[in-house]
Amino acid sequence: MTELHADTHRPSLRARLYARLLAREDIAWLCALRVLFGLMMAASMLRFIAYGWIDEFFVRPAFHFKYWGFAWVQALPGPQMHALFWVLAALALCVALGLCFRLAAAGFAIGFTYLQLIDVTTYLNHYYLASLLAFLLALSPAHRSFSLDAWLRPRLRSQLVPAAYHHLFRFQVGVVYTFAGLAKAQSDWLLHAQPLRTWLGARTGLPVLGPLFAQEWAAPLMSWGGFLFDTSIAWLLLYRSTRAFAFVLVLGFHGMTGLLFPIGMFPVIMIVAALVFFSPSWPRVLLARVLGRNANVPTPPVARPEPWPRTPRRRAHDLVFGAALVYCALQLVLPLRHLAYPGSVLWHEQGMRLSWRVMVREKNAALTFFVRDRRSGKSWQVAPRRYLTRLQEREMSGQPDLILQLAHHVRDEFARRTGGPVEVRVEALVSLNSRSPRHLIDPTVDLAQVHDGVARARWIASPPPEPPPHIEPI
Amino acid sequence: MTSALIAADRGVPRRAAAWLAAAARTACCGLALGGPLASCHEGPRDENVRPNMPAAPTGMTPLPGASDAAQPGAPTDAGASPGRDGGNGQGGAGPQGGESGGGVDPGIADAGVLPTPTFTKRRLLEAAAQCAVGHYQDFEAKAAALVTALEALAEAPQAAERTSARAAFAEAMASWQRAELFRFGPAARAPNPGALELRDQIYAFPLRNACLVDRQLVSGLYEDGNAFAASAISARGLSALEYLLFYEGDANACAPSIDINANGTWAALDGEERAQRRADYALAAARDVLARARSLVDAWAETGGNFMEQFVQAGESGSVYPLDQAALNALNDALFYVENEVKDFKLGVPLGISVDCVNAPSACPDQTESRYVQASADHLRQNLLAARRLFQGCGAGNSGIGFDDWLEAVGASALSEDMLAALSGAQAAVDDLPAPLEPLIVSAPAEVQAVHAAVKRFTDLLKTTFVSVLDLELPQAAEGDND
Repeated sequence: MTELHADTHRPSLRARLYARLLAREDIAWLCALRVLFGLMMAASMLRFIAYGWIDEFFVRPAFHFKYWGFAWVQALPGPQMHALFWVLAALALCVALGLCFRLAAAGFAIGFTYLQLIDVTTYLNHYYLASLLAFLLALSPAHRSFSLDAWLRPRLRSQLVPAAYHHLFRFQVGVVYTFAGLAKAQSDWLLHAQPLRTWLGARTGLPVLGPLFAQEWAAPLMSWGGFLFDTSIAWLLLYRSTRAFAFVLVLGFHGMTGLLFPIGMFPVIMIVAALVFFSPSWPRVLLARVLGRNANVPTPPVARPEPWPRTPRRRAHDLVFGAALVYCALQLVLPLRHLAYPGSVLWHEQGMRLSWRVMVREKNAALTFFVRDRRSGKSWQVAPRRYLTRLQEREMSGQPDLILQLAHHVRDEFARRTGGPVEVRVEALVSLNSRSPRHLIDPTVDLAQVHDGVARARWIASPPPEPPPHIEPI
Repeated sequence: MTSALIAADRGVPRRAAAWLAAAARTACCGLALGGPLASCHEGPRDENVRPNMPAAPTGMTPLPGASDAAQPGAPTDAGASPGRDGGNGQGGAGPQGGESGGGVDPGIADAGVLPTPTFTKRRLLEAAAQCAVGHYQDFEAKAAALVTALEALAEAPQAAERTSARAAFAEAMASWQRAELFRFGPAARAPNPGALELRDQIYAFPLRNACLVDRQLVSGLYEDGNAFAASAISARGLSALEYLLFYEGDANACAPSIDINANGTWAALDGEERAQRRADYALAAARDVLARARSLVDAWAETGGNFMEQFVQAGESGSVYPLDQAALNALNDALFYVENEVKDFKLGVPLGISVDCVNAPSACPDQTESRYVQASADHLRQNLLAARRLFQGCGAGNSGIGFDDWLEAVGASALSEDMLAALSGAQAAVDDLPAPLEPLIVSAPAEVQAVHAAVKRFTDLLKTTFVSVLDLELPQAAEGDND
């Protein structure tokens, strides 16, 4: 009876959760995100066009590295690839304008993700984030205000949006920062300040800041600063009392990294993404202040826990929230999957991608394949540059699964050429965070016989046991 | 057709021996930057040597290769000692062993040891720039001497003139083999900062097209200075000069279906006419090379392009290098000559180690660098000599500031010693070749493979720990956020 009473008069946990997620709030934050994201991605596409990266990354390479399970994704011929970038730039502008938003956002998300699936060596954490944000935006009602769609179709107009969207975007950006911070919780970063110490040592010629980087304390200070920033910034942004201070930190941190390192759009994307932590009406408030007027903030309906309807709509909600839950769980599991593999993820890289390990390792390699005809015993040495661009070679050289992919490509080419089976071994001397070079792959293993997969790769050699060397900044 | 050309050229080594001796006679002096360049050449002062050649910067390094003709490679040893390919018998030096393979270098020894002040990146840039300019100036002088010799040959294409011209070519080529390692700034290819692509204009190896040379020999394109200067680089420069000066066969390098064979225009030239045209073509090519060499020197000179200032003041406003690190990356790219050109093109391809050799895994002897003079090993020796100068220092005994000082300054002395030892090993391996590289490729490939392995020990360190410790960019690195 008590339970019944409680059930009747007090909403269930699920009902309260749904009520909280479905509570209406100002849509302004989502529209601002849409506009800024669209403009940012349009600029990003134009950078690709202007800098000649389309040919360099997608057209010129004769060989592309594939994501596991996505080997079927192929690059378009040159003219179509160029056209695709113009289309994506146009779609990104449509997203910003809110014109045919659903179609434009979905098209952009699919097109931009397709670009990333063409070649693993073009993987960047912030491109991955941009893809995720594009898909989330495409699923949101970000066009219901401040958009051409809403102007052209009044029935679309809405000043409010369920708070669930806000929570989802905040979760996504919080995951990026937090896991980027956790990735720094390792001895190279915290105890030896590597690879930051080496990187800063190369930037002592910068005006004003350069001489500071030559100080012994600079690298440890910045390493710890980066670690603490990444792990705490999402929380500092979340709470109203620390938000303004935190956003200043965001501006300073990303401004500094953008100045110091060639990381392209990354700082801009993260600064824009951090805006999701502000209150829903921040764009109206900001605009009003700029224009010297009072902000016209829409009033949401009084929040009240609604009795949970036992209707088809409830089942639809269950489905949507279930999918969102799976998505969130995936975002938590993917960065942690490296725990399933013994050894340092910075060395074996199993679980490295899609896990927000941003700027935590410096790898340089000297790599040569040794091919042997199993019938005649003839052998060849094959340099990766025969198949790869410089960028591809650099990225591949430190990543065992990509080395394996190229080994298989070499195997297939030589098998065709010789008309029989060949063995492929590799000498992959790799320096991790300035350590002495060491074999990344067991040089005795015939990679022609090794299959790629998610299991532990026993053909990867053990990581260097010694700490990174101490580099004096000059 | 290529193999036919080689077969027709079997007499080259014997002929080479004659001019080698002449080269030894003409090898007379070492040079100091800004010194009396013309005094190195016997006979009338070379009018091609400009009196207003840009002066070397203060504290300029002694000139590289002062003893070119006596240096390995110099034809002297090859002619006198068939068992060696120009080696001087000194073998490799230890990690601090100085200029292995270079023999005693009077110019350097006379100039004394360069100081090694406290390391700064700016000082490394200055030292490397001065070293580069010294090499360019040396080559300009040698190129001018080559033009003079070829003018005499074109005037009277006789044996004595040909011998002198070949000796002048040997000196110029040895000089360039050192100079071209300094492939940054005006010598580099676009889009590198300051690039004027002058290296490729002077020596386009591995691009070379003997058939095109023969076709232009018939067409007379070389007589039109402007058209010739704009023609394909594979039929100009030092590669074309080697072919024109050292190949005297009746056959050409083209397939029967190519116009000069199909329409009989090649066959219509008698031996005397071909000899005259080869001399004229060689003179045109040498003048073109000299013009490019002057452009290179001018581009660095204060009175010219003043690239020296751009380079040394990298990171300051007005420089084409936005950061000093960008200029240091350019120096690093220059060191990668040892990886790309020396290890892969000059050794890996001819050996058949590289699948770029069409016969791989058998050798591709026609892919050796110096097919007609058979001085490929000496070219390697000069390349490694220059690499050591850039890495360790350009002064006598490799004194002066180099990358090794940078490594020591950041606390990576062990790496510095490892790299110097590896470089010495590579130099020693070249010196230890028992015969010219070209026949060894076929008769004793293991000997050449040992050189390849020794060079690889150096480049493995270059590509891994070296670039990591100094945070130097591999050539053409792009932006990213994940490393």
